Parts: sequence; C-alpha cells; structure tokens
Amino acid sequence: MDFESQYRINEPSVVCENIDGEVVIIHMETGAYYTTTGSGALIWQFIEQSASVRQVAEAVTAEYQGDPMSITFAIAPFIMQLVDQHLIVPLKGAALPQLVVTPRADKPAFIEPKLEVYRDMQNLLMVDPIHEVDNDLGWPEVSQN
Amino acid sequence: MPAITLRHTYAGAALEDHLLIDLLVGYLHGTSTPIDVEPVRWCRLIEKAYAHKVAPILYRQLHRLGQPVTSETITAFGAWAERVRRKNLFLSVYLAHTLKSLADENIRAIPFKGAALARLAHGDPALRQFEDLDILVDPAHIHRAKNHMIAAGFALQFLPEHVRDLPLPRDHYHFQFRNQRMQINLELHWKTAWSRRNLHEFRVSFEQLWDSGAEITLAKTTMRTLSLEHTIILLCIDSLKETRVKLGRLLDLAALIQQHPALNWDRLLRHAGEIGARRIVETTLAAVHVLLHTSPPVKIATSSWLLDKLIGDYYLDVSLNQSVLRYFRSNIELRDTFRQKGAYVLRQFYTEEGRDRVAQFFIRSLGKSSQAGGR
Repeated sequence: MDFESQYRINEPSVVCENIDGEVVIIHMETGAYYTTTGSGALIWQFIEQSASVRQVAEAVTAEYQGDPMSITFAIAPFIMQLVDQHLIVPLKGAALPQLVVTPRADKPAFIEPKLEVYRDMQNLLMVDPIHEVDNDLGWPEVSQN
Repeated sequence: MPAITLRHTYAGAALEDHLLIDLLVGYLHGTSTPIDVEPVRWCRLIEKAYAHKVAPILYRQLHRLGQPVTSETITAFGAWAERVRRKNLFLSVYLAHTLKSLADENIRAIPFKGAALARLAHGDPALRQFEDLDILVDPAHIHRAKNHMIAAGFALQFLPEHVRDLPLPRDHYHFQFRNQRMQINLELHWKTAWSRRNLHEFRVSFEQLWDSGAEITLAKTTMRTLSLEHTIILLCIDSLKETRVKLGRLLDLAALIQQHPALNWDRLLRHAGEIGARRIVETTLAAVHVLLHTSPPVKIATSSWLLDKLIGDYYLDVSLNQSVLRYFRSNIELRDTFRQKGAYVLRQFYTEEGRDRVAQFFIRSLGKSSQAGGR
C-alpha cells in the first residue's frame, strides 16, 4: 500500500452515516451492508476528509495510546478492505487536508478497526425468535419434539 | 429470590402477561421491581414481547434490571436485540437516503410509523420493532414518486397491473414495494389509512400535514414526520385495526404522552371527532391508562364494558375471538358514524337555512311513509 495514497467515499454508490461512533455503510449496487467497530469510525472520518494513509495513521496515533507502528499495521489492512469492498476509491490530485487532532492527556487504548459485513440482510431483516421452544432449555433453543 | 409486587392483575391473563406489562410500566416510569414470581417462563415472556412488538424494550429492561433470567437466554436475547438495533440503523440510514433522493426530484415526503415513530416516541430507533419503511407523499406526486422508486430498484407488489397507473387506485391507499437486492420493503402512501366508508381519514391536505409536521433527526438527517396529534390518532386507529399486536402500539402512545406533555389534547380530540375516531381514540387512550399507567391530561372514561373486554380479550391476547373483535370494531365505527350524523343534524339548527333543510327532510320522509302506508 502506498502511504501517500488518498481515497474518497465511493458516492453515490455508497451511502454512509456515523451514528454514535459507529459508521453505517450501505453499498447501493451490491446490496451489502456494513458497520465499523473499534477505531474504524475515526479512520472513516479522516478518509471522508481526503486524508492520505500516512495522515490517517498519524492522526489515529495521536488520538489513541499504543505503538505507532502497530497502529499503522492495523490501519493499512482496514483501508485495503474498504477498497476491496468498493466502499472507497482512489482520489488523484487532491490537496492534502489539514486534519484537526486534539491530543488528550487521557488517550484511550487503541482498538483495532473492524469492518462487519452483512451480505445476507434477510437474516437481519427477518429477526424472528418466534418458534416452538424447548421447555427445558428455554428460548431460543428450538424444540426437537 | 427477591419479591415482586405486580401492579395489577387481570383475570385469565398469564403471569407472563402481567410481568411484561409490569416491565413496560417500569420502562415508562423509570421504576423497577425485582422479580420473584415463579415459575416465570422466560421463553414465553420473550415470545409474548416479540408478538406485541416490544421485545427490544423488554431486553433493555431485563438487561438493566439484571433480572434472574437464565444466562443462555439473556445472551441469546441480547444477540437478537443487537441484530434488531443494526437492522433499524440500516433502515434509518436508507430512509434518510430515500427522502433525500425524493427531495432531489422535488417530491416532499413524510416518513411515519417505523423509525420516525421510534425516534418521536422513544428517542431511539433501536427500541422499536419495525420491518419496513412507510412514507407519505403528496397525492399529486405519487406516480412520480412511484417511478422514482422503481428506477431505484424497487418492484411494485400486490397491486393488479390494470390499476397501477390509475391516478389514485380506488380501494387502495399505498403502493407496496420490495427491493430484492437491498432486501427492503417500502410503502409509498397517498393516504395514511384505508377505510371503506372513508372514516378515519385525515381531512387535511398533504400541505397541511407537512406544515403541521414534527421535525425529527434520524441518521443525522433532519426530516419531518406527522405531527404528534396526527401520529397519536393514527396509532389509536391502527391499534384497533390489528387483531394481534397491541402492547407495542400502546407503549408508543404512552411514550408519546410522556415525552410531549405540552400536546394540545383538546385539538387532538377535536380532530379525532372530525374524522369519526374520537371514541376509538378515547378507548385506546383509556387502555393505555389502565395497562401502562400513563394518561393524557384530559378526562377519559376508564370504566366501560368495551374497554374491559378490549383489555381482557384483545390486548392481553386471552382467548382471542376474531368474530367478537370484528363486532367491537364495527360497534365503535357505528357509534362514531351516528355521533357524526347527530352532530351534523344539530349543526343544522344553528342557522335558519339549516332548520328549513331539516324540516323539508322530515316533511319528505313523512310523505314517503304515508304513501307507503296507503298502499
């Protein structure tokens, strides 16, 4: 991965929103749904600002406690995953942004970014616990009788 | 195990019914009572909550209260509640996207029920069970909106081919869509409800519904849903149309009453009366008062045989009898119709012209009956 690369959100195919520190992403063409956990929302926020991979790594390192090298090694595959899923696309010739990072005395420990993929929304949309339950085991165990 | 004091009991209802209501009252009023009633069939409690569309709130209460649910059950229930939260987040983001795309086409749209109601009543889309998106569109733009949704990958469902392009298909009030790729169901309404006799239909234009609408923020997007008054009336009407799920609607109503104390109840009841739904609204609000201990600041009769039967046979799902339910519904509609007709006749006496009209009506009626008697 080129650390000077910049990316942009793959709009209009991708619709996203940061809700309470969790980014909800919908790819309108593939029908896949995603959420980010850990430091994913912060990384997404910097990518939205057209930051380069190096800038993202520096900014995340400033926000979290942890070894800068380990943080960088955790961020790179996450960004590659976003590229592989066509959620972000390369951005050529854009000016580098000035990222605003406020270093805090009580920095939280770094949590690896993760991208959760929900390809089969049917499972999620049909969340249905209604079934005969096993009287001994209780819900949600399905009755074998 | 600690002791529980059930706030009320209802003959014929299962322990889980009472317990569920008790936990919902706790959610509304921020109170908690430890549970020691045995044997609580937790699986049955969860199933009932799901059927009544209050399972996310039950999970929240059980989790918060640390009640003695078996750990396997609460873990599995927690995983389910998390999936509901995710699903509702996705649907909220998709709803915001759809409204923006309709606005780009100069089509104003009002989301209602679903995520919008979850925000309005509970402040959190994760706390309501809903499966689809409901959007009200100006009837003048309904076909443009329909074509827009089709272009966005949605397919029309459950509507015969020959009525799809009629200006406003008779006997219908919405277009139902499914987006197979996104696996989302969406309903585009030009009316909020269907009624054979045009009862319970808001007698206001889309423009008025828009202007009086309540602003909410969902998925970081500011949007306009139906006003609190219209939402409450609609919920009351819906609560009597469904035959199985009830507590969820009542809980929404109770939460709305609590969250919005400055609501103009006189105006709300007047609106309900204008569309023949005053008795429905009063009866449903009385059920909210009796079951969930939440009342609007207006006087509502809480001791009618109808209410008693509704709560026993209807809301608590004890010995559900469809023909009896139909009788109740038609009874309410009939009384509303008579009340409307009575009010109409009375209004005629306010003016001389009206009095003449009534007199002419009776003279004609007497003439017809004397002719019939003479044959």
